Amino acid sequence: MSADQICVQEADFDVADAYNKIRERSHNSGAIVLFTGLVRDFNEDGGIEGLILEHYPAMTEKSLKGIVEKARQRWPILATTIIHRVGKLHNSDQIVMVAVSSQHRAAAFEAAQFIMDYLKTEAPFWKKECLNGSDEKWVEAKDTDQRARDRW
Amino acid sequence: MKLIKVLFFARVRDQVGTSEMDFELPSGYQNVGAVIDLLKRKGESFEAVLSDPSVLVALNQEMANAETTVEEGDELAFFPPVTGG
Repeated sequence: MSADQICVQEADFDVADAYNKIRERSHNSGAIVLFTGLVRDFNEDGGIEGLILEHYPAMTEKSLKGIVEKARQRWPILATTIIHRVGKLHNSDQIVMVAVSSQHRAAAFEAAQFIMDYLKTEAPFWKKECLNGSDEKWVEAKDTDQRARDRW
Repeated sequence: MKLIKVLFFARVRDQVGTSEMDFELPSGYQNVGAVIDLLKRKGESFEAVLSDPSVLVALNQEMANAETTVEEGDELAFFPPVTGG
């Protein structure tokens, strides 16, 4: 089994299950860092009623693999997991999970943050917010996300 | 002449009103920039989207730019800055 797992799926995911799986794939690991991102129930203008997440299927996995490769060139990573959901999501649903295992925690923390910062600025996903009634609005990219990536 | 596929995603798709089209690139036209110039002639919405400096382009699922060479059967995609995660 590959040390790196990438899943793009509509279904929700079980963090405990994902944790057990990356732990099994990580021999001599001393640290696993696991991040999850959730749907907030507000934006800059007020409340929202969920999201629709679109992606570019043929490119998504390629892009995520490239990000993991970049992280592997910088840190001694043992295993990684990226799960990203697409389709209709409700407020406080899980959207994304990134997990990284390494022998030491610093590498696992940094690599997980690096992967998330690159995912948010390079992987071809787009969020549309569902507003009151049937209104929908595409989410604009944030400069803060770009700066978070550029610091690496 | 080269036949390529052109895809549009998210806001960009909504603006041009289509998600996918086949496109014939006449001989003599070589790169992404040439395709963009020809697509702009398809109407005001194409002109507006493809003149927007924030719109990104990928060729065969890799990020590209105006100078990237286009070959027969390639897949060209236009989309707004990404907002996943």
